[in-house]
Amino acid sequence: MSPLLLMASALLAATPTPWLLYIDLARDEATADIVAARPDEKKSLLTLDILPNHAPHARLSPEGGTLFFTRHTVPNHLERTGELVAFDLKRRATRLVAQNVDAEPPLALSDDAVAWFETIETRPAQESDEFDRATIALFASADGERRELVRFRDIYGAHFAGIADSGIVLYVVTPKEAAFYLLPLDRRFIEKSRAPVRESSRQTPVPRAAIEAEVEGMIPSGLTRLAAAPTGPVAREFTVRGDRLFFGALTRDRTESALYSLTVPGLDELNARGDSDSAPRLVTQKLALTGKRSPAPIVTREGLLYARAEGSGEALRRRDWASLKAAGDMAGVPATRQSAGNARAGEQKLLRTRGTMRALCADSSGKVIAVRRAFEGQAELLWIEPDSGTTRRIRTREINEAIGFVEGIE
Amino acid sequence: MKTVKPFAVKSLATALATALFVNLFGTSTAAAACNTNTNCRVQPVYGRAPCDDEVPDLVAQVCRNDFGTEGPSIPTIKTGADGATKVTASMPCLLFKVMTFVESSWQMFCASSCGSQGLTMIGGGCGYGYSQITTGMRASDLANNTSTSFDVNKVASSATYNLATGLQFMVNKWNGRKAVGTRDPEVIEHWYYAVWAYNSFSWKNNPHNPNYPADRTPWYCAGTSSRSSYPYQEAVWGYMRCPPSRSGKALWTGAEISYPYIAEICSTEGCSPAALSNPLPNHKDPCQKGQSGQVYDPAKVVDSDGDGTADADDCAPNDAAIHPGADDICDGVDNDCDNAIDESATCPEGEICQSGQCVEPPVDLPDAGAPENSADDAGEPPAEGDAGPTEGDATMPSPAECVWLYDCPDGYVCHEGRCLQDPVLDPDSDGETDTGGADLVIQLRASGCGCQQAMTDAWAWAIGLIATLFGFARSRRRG
Repeated sequence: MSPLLLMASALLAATPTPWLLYIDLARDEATADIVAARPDEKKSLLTLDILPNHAPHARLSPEGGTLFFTRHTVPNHLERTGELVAFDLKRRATRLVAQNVDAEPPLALSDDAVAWFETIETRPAQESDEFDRATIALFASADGERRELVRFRDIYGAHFAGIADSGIVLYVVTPKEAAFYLLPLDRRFIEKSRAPVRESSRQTPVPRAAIEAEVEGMIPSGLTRLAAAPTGPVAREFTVRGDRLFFGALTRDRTESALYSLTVPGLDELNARGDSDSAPRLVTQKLALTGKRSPAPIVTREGLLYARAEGSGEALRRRDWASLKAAGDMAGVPATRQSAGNARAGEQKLLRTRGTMRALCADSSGKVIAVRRAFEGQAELLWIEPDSGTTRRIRTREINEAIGFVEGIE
Repeated sequence: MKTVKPFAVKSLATALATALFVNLFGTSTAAAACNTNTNCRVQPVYGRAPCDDEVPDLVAQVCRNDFGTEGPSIPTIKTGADGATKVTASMPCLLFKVMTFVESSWQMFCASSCGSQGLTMIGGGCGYGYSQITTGMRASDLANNTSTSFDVNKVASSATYNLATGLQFMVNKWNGRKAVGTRDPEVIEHWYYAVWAYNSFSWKNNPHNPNYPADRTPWYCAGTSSRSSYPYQEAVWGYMRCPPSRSGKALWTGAEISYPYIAEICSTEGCSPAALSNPLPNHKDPCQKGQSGQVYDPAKVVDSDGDGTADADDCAPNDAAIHPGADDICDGVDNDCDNAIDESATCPEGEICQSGQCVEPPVDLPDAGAPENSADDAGEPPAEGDAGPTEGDATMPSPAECVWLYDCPDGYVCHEGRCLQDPVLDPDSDGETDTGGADLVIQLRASGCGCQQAMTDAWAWAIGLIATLFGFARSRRRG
């Protein structure tokens, strides 16, 4: 191939540089900016009034067209006075979705659909060996319509772990256990949100009685329990791709952290399993020991990024999908310390630092990842292009939280 | 106690409007968008807003349980791991000072400036004043005539009473929770569960809550994340270590209080609050015993006479009867270590203390009379920049120095106040061979590249490719 042809194909293959979205604020100030940045340029897309120091919790829709965020402007010790807002990135317009929401990150289902939690009531601890319990409802809004999907009674807390092929994966903590649940999601609920609003197209809200469960500390029907968290309520950093959930947790002896995964079955398989005791139990799988460092995994097109303690610092590692699939096929087989802790096929070290490091998000092409690095008490936001081997710093204010990468917001 | 003043309706409206527009969490002590919640049990009343430099004394008086009838009754406090012993309650001043800052930003009244009059600060959820007392203070509590263990009107009108009610709540939280360490009320670390419970003893404040990053650095210190990335008690712990400043002055002297071993909080199945082992090193606050000085690690303190004062702060380290805070008696000795002898010693009626002895006064001693009362200075704000704590005064660095990573150019980090070339992001050169792929080499951009013209990555990549291809073609021709 001639150099000119090579050059032409290279130009064609070049994709526009994405924008990194992040929330930027200075200490004690009552506003926060949603900023779009590249290494050499940045622009503020939206300035928000906030309770000082309280950055909004934001999530980007899978299509990248809408940013959903919860923010608080009124001091309240229970932080149930938040509002959920949709920010259309192309039109730069905001829309209030819900009020009195919990201080939890929402779950962006699509450009027009979002789910969130609301604490309905709390019951203070009665004894010294228990925590306060809460009744928490999960709501979703699509096409401007608000629906209560499920309600938990007498639990400690509930969190979104992500969206799998078969539905929303939840992490629910009760006094008895911490476990993952699947809330089957009717895709039509999301897809309908993209259609023009028509009265006849609106779904009938699910009757509340049908989705409430009165059993203390138990989970309502309609949810499928997938598996217990491997070592109690110490799991965090959930990320889902396809049918795989990845997360970090302390090990059973609480001396170090590990990277775990869980394969989420499809709805057909779940229905076939039923509630039979003879059905094989789903189990979480330990993929790697990460030492004193929580792995903070994120998924990218190429594979899974996670951090691991190494020497006096940390390394950011990438494991490709082929090796993860192979590991998934071994689910149920305990990983030995040796096989979990050492380098393995399909794994690559991207970066090493003497400080701590956490991959935050990656762009859709897998070309760029955003990383937070902290060293000697200072933290910075880095723009890393693994293929070209470059690292650049995004200049931010003191407090910043990366949200994701978007394109086409020029 | 201040009560509602018979202001004209217009004045009241003006005051409310003013309060609405002042920022609750601004850097000024006058801040106050303060009071927007009027649908509560007690209507806001006017009172003098104390200045920042008055707050530590108010808090200290309450923490020592030394407020007489100016507060509600305080229960005794459990001590010992089994909580079997109960003693008169008190709590570390630094801890309560920081808690009230987290709760209210040290606002009791919404005044336009400290020292002037303002209406009671009522926060979200009908939280009143310094301690943000919410229990029993909602409008529904008025409708239900909910009984409380304190006077709801005084909570709204008296700074001391409000703080003392906060102490009452803290003692109840302490008594109702599992022990941390040996459950010694003098140890700041042992208040971890009580502080957690003061906000809500819920999963929201559990350090294992996945909303809080595992790698969070202490709140409000270098590298901090958003406040919403920390449970309540960690916000208190962070502020104790890294105090905020107002008008360039740190509000208190920071102390690095130990965190508990949080892995003990939940078991490998469910999660019940278990007794926690002692977080070391411990820290005590001399203020709690009426002494001055900074928070200290008792394990490092030598107290030869066992009078509760470290030798370093004791003017008579081997005499247990002499220490700061001791009663001054007429004996010619500085009993309370204040560099004055017998200045506050008392004698039997009709006698005076002279040369270390109580004696009858000379016949020709002029009648000193009663001391004049000092003028009531209520409503008189101190002059701006008036006296206040001077320690920990934050000074801005000169431009040549740095305090933050972002003060330095790319490729540099801020190390001990100076920008040094980044030693950290080295290429992966550990010699380890990763199966399945070569290690990538990550390069920092050369420092000073900020002056480069911005160039899209696609074009930069294309130009590099062209240069490479031309070089390759030329080398082939030469070959």
